[in-house]
Amino acid sequence: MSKRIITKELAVKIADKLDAKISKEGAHDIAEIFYKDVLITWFGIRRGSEKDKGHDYIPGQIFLNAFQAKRLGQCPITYAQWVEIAKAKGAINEKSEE
Amino acid sequence: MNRLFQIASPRMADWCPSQKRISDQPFDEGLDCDYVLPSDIFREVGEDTDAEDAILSAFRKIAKSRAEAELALRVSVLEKVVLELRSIISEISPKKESCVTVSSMASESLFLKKPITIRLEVIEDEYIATFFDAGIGAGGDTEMEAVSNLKSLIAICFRRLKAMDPKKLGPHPSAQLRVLEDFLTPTK
Repeated sequence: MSKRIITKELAVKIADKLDAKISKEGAHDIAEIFYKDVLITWFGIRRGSEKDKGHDYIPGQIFLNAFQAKRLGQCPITYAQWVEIAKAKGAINEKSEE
Repeated sequence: MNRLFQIASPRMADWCPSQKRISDQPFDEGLDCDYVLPSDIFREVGEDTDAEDAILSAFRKIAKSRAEAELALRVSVLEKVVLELRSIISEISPKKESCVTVSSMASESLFLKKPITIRLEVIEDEYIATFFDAGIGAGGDTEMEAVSNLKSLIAICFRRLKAMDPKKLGPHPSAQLRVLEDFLTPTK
């Protein structure tokens, strides 16, 4: 039973799912997540070829618990559902939608 | 001799007076001749001690191979149980966590106004470093690498957020910037 939940492969899928803007910065790829042109959050993805590298710090940075983050990467949670979760947690300000 | 093997080989269990299978018996008991070989079998071959030895030897081989197969099965079941127990123990054992204090950013462009407390957590063979105040985390193969990756992410985050139009920052990045401004200042 593995304790590692978010691998690099899953981190990349999460970034894709949230339509993150990726930019290279040193040893990291920075994934910035925007909603209506406002930066909602960001996270770093470690460079390297190992797909199973741990990225278990990501869930907290996208306002989810580890299992929600896993489900987001694996599809059951949609981008729209994530936006709702982020709004409920105050990470997306209603004003920023105007 | 051949006839005897024809009788003996396929249905050993039938010879067992209590109708138990040989494999149900401990190895040593299973080899007891009185138990597995009724005397009327030997009546068939009279005083042919060679045949008797051959049968005994055949039984020993069969019993041994059954005992070995049983042992292998038991070992594989035990291996499975040990793995499950290990995983349960690792689940319930306290997490390997520690806190470290960072007092320099090791960056030419940033100066640390006050020390940062970082939580280090071990997940399998990797380390996660988290700066909770700003909600920034990073991973690494070693403690040093995780802390160094976190420092570098903190610096990147500070630089990028500071360069952005504040109106384009959501509540979380705005809060991150406020925290980072508390801890960091660009070097002159």
